[in-house]
Amino acid sequence: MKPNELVMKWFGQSLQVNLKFWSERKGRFFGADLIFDTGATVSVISEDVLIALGYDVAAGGTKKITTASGPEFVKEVVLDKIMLGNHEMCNVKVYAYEFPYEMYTSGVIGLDIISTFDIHLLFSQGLIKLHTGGNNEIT
Amino acid sequence: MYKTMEQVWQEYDGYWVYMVNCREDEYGSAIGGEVIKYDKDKRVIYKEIGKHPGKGHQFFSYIGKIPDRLGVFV
Repeated sequence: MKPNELVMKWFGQSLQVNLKFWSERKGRFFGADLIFDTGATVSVISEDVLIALGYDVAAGGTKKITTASGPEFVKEVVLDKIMLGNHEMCNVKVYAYEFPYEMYTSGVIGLDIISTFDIHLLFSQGLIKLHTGGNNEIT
Repeated sequence: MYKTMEQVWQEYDGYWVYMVNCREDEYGSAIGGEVIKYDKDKRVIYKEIGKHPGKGHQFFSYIGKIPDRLGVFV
């Protein structure tokens, strides 16, 4: 695998990238294309997906987030392991949320994950370059 | 039957798909696999997650362009 690079996938004007979730219960990775959003402060994953992967979405705390349609309460879930490109991240906190039916993605990768890297958005090449050493203090 | 992602995009435009036995490119993205479920309703696909054995990673996503009438604001 090419180091430190993600392929930009455009769905209309929505930028998505591939992310893999590790499921301890299933013993394998599951990949999905998620929205890459530097404007989102937190990463939010479909509650149905997290349940299917074996995570207990009821075990964690809740957080109030502000969306375009108003405040929503989401549930905190810690993922065992994810792969973003060739970067493996362990114990990653995300939030479970029931997206609207007409949301053509299974989740949003927000600044809480993105900012753990320094990134270059290379639109002319359709690539995102990730470098370790971002801001790890965002929680 | 194994299909490349190009074939999947041609055949399942506008559907959510669930694929097993996926092969990856150098960036770690699925370049093909076996489509074992497709549906317009993502909830149908989500119910399939983890129910199928196989080698390699499995992949689920919407295939196709987001309808022009629909903007995304998150």
